[in-house]
Amino acid sequence: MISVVTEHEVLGQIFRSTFAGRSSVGADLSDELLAQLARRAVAFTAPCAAHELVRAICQSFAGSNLFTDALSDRVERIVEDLIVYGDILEMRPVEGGSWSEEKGFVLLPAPPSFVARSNGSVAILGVAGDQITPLTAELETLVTYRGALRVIPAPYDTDLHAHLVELGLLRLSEKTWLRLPPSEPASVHIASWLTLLSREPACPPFEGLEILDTKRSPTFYKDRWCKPDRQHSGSYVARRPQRYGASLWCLAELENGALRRFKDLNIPGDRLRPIDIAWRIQAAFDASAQTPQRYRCSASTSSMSLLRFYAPVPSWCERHLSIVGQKTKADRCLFSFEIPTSQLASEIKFLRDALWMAETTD
Amino acid sequence: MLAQTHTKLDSHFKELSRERISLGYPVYAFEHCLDAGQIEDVRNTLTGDFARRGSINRDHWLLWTVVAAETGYAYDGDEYWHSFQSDIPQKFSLANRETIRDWFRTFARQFNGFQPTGRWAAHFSIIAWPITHSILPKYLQSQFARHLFELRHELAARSSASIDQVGELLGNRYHGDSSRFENFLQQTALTARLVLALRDEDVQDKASPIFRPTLARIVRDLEQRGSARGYLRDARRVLREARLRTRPGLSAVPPPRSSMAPGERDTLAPAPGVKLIARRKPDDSWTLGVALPNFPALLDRTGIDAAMLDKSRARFAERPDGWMPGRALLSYSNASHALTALPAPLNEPVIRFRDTDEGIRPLVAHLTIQARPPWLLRVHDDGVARQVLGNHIRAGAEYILAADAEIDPDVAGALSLVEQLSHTSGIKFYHMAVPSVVPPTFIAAAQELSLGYALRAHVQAFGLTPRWDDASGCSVWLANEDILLRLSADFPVVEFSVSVDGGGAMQLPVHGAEGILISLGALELGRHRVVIATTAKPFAQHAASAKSIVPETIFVEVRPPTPWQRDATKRSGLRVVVEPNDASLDDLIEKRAFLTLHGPEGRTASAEAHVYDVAGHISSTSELGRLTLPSQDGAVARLIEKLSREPLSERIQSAPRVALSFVVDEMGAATAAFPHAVAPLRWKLTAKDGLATMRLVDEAGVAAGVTVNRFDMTAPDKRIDVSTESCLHGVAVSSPGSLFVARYDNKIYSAFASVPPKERLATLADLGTKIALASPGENTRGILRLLAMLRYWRRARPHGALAVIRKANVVSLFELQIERLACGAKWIEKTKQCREAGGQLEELQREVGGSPGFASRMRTTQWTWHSDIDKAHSEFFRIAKTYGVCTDRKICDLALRLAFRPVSIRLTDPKEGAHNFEFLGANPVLARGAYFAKMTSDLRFTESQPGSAL
Repeated sequence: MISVVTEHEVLGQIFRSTFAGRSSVGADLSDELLAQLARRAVAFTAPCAAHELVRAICQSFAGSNLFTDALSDRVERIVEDLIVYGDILEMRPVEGGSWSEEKGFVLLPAPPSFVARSNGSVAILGVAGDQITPLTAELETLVTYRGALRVIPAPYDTDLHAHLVELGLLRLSEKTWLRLPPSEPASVHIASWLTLLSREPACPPFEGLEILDTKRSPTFYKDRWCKPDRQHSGSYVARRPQRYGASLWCLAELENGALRRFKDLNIPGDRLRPIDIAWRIQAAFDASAQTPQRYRCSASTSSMSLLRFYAPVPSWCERHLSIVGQKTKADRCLFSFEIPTSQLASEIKFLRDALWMAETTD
Repeated sequence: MLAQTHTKLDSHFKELSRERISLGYPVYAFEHCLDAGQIEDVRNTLTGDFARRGSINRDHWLLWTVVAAETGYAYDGDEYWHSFQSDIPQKFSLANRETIRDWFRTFARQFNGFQPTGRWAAHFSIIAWPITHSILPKYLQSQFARHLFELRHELAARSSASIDQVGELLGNRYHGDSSRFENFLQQTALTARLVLALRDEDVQDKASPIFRPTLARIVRDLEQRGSARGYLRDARRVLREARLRTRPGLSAVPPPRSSMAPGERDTLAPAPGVKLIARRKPDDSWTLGVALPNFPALLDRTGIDAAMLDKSRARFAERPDGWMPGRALLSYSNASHALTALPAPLNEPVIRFRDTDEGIRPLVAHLTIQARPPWLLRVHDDGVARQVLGNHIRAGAEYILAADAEIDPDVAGALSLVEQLSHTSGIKFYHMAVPSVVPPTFIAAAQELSLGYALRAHVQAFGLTPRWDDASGCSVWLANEDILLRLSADFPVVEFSVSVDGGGAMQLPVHGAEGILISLGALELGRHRVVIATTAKPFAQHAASAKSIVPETIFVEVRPPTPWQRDATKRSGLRVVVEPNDASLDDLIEKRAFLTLHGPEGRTASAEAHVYDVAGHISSTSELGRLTLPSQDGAVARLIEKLSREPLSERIQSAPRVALSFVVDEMGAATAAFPHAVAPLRWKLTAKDGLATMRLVDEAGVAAGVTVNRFDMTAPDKRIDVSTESCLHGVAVSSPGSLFVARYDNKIYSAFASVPPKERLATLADLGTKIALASPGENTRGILRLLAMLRYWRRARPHGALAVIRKANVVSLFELQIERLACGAKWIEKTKQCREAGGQLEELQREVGGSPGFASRMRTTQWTWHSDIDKAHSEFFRIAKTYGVCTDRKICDLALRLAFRPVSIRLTDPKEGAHNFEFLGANPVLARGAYFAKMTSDLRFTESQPGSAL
């Protein structure tokens, strides 16, 4: 029946259209609803660039009070979270299509899959095409949505894994899902990238290069970005502009602020994203400079601890933390994870081994 | 006790029949009123009575039908009579089986009972009765629940459809791999009533098509399995909601499509022809492309059978060498194709067919670019520019003009056109931004390009990013999505008026300046026309423009959600291709077909073989190994080879379905499924206490018309007659094994039973088996007989340990003897040397004989036997004719077939066949040339494999 509807009513209808089998918990444009809209949209806009997906979602609210600058930032963050958790794959375009030749990365919906978490719960990943979530209504009612993450809490069904496989979901091992790089000392990690950098030819300077200054405090991420000047000599994680599209992550060698050569950050096979490579190299730079990146640990409840982070971490690190914990709203930090205190020691060891991080007690 | 129960059942079924006769609902034997204990008592007593009397008692006929239906409900889907004999452990003769069928017929007559129909029921004329009278056998329940779930929205949309239509929908829309389930769906009257019963189980005030306690039992069993429970509940929810919606008076919905006049419905169909799209590259250059239609739907609309495509080859107009099998078009459904150049002339289709025949001709009009240049394409929010067929521009919108010549600079200047870099040869792109207030000079310049302008409402999908169907130029919505639109205008508006599919217009007043949000609610499945008229505010300053306000028309398509399992990995580029596409797993194992896995370079796929049971569930999974992408044929062949090894080989051969799955970590899995259809006659090998027994399974009850032969592996061409009756009970097979061939109704049902020796193997040599032909033949006339034998062995399904290898050895023996007869013993010696002892190919080339050029061309020609068989035949004939080897096309074709695929030779007329082979025998150069072509073709393939020693 044709009817005029309010924005509030529209949100309720969107919720019903995208969350099959669930009753609305509130008609607001929540992160969970935006994540579901992103899953829905990527199913038919893919392959597309991340900014195209963000734009497509935001534009559908054009002309309403919901269409704000903040909306674009939120959708961008949620799409990033969906990539981090593996609902959306970020890959190079598949060759052979008649429209190919495009460079860079495109987004693709990941096939529905699940990962068993160490606490017995199960994370549901991927996009089920038109259905968005690959579950029957009976299972869907059990799913807890937190931001971009969908979890069936334990214990639900002793045979849950078999049930999911029977529905067609792919069981991902923790190792496959995490895609962790091998552990190595920070100095070794830096050395391998500097070797690659040294093989690059010298290049003329260009405008718009931005670097992450290792000398600035690692606890204030945004403040570390700057344009190179005469004080900057050595190797830096940097972003170089390109004529069209987002700036590219690279490793830059500078001499008195002048660019000598650079190496774009990527590895064959798309298993690590350039941004993840960059953040790990920066963590290694910070550790080598005796100013390792920091986290703060505090008790949130009697059995849970809160880990606060002040610099971005690679997506595989976030996945590792989400195996045992839950990303929470940032409070006096860049982001935080709530994890069971019983798992704290192993997670701290992981942060130390993989990103050479240290605890701050300041 | 039996008599009492008989009477009770008789009254019960009479009552059911009375209730249903006016409704046209049949009665099923499974709808008895006995509980599990009572059924068990009846079964035991009947067994005892049968044992005492030595025959089945006519007085208890009704009880026998009920017991037979119970077996049909619970059996595992493999062998009905085997299960029946487990329930009634007495020897049940063919005559007894026929008596049971007669009693079901009596049931149908007396109680208005169900009568199975369809191809399957005709083939399996006895077991069709007890199985269909069990309503929904347990082993099919999961598949039924899933099928119901996948069709839930379409079934809901047909709430007023007839029983036949619902049943046909269920049958026609199954595209799975289970032939058993496909057979079940042929019982359209049954399946439709089952759907009705499941939907209306909660409605107490009307007669149910299925006895309620029976339905409750089926639902209870169905819900035992988690996934089936979920599917069933979701499907029933959608069906029940639709039932409530369609009850008169409960809601106001647009007029049903069925009430539209035929002419009105026609206007909803998209205009024939492909629509243009253009995509921008990061450097702001543009490429023109075409949005290809949904080919299966187009074939349906144009009345073309997809099989017609198999007779043709197709290519994109601008790729002269890009011929592909006609059926490959289906994989381009709803895809967009970038054009490097336009078709020339422009009225030619963008896809051309090589062998355009009358059958395919209707497609051409649908593959031709619509309208004339310059084409107007509107740039949408997703950055894609899509063709605007009406050539109407609107204020504030962004367009791309695609022209085949430069646009007059004056016009370009007046429209502020900015030329763009083009990647499509012969096309010039211009960017056009229409101002939000359009001046008359702009309108005049636009008219020079045949572009119209009028004031209209702005209509924009709201909240849910619209899916675009580029081919039909409309947005696509799912049955479970509310269509939400934002209506606005560039001028003050008093109200919008919205109508759907010509129904009454709904007046929607506008109170603010920002436009309004509307919901169209849930529309029926299909394409809809939405017309939005606008009433401007009656101010003097708008009076002039108000005259030019025209209604905006948009089309929306509503469709059911596509089950995600079908295309979960489609977009990630992971794809498994089996060529030819109808190849069986045996073809793959025996290298008559090839498998390729496509995916991102450098990634690794883990290959698994899934073996399914008759219920459609995975019964076992075996890891085959890993593949680096893109796959190399040699690596795939090594994995496939593992399928022929025990114990996997036996499991695969006896499974109703096998799937090869290639898992690439988080990207998912690409799968190729290989179903084994259920034949009316099949063979089963069992081993008990060291005794191997081959048994003929006759589910069709046709044993009386069957003849059986046996061919022992040691003398594989020696025919031995075997009595059909003994095969039905099982005949012993001795090592190394035998081929069993059953013939019925001019069809062959063959199987090879491989049996290990009884004695302990002392050495590896003990594994070897001596095989020798009893009548190897003396000349090419003898090939006829050998070909017939070869066909038996080729077709036979291998059973037992080493069966695949042993069968391959026998097949090789036949092929070698045929080659010997066609080419001579010396040729065989030379080829053996060349293949096994590293002999020189040049030496063999000389051995072909005739003109040296002929043999040379046999060696250097790229034989396209697998990709283009017609071309291979033409080329072979051309070369043979050129070098004076043979001028008879028929004999050339015969020689090439004999060398490349001897079993493909069909000899409908034995006299003519013998004559042709005599002719071939008189021309050994031709035969040797063909075999040499095959050999060099094989060598070239082997050399192309990485790691090849050659």
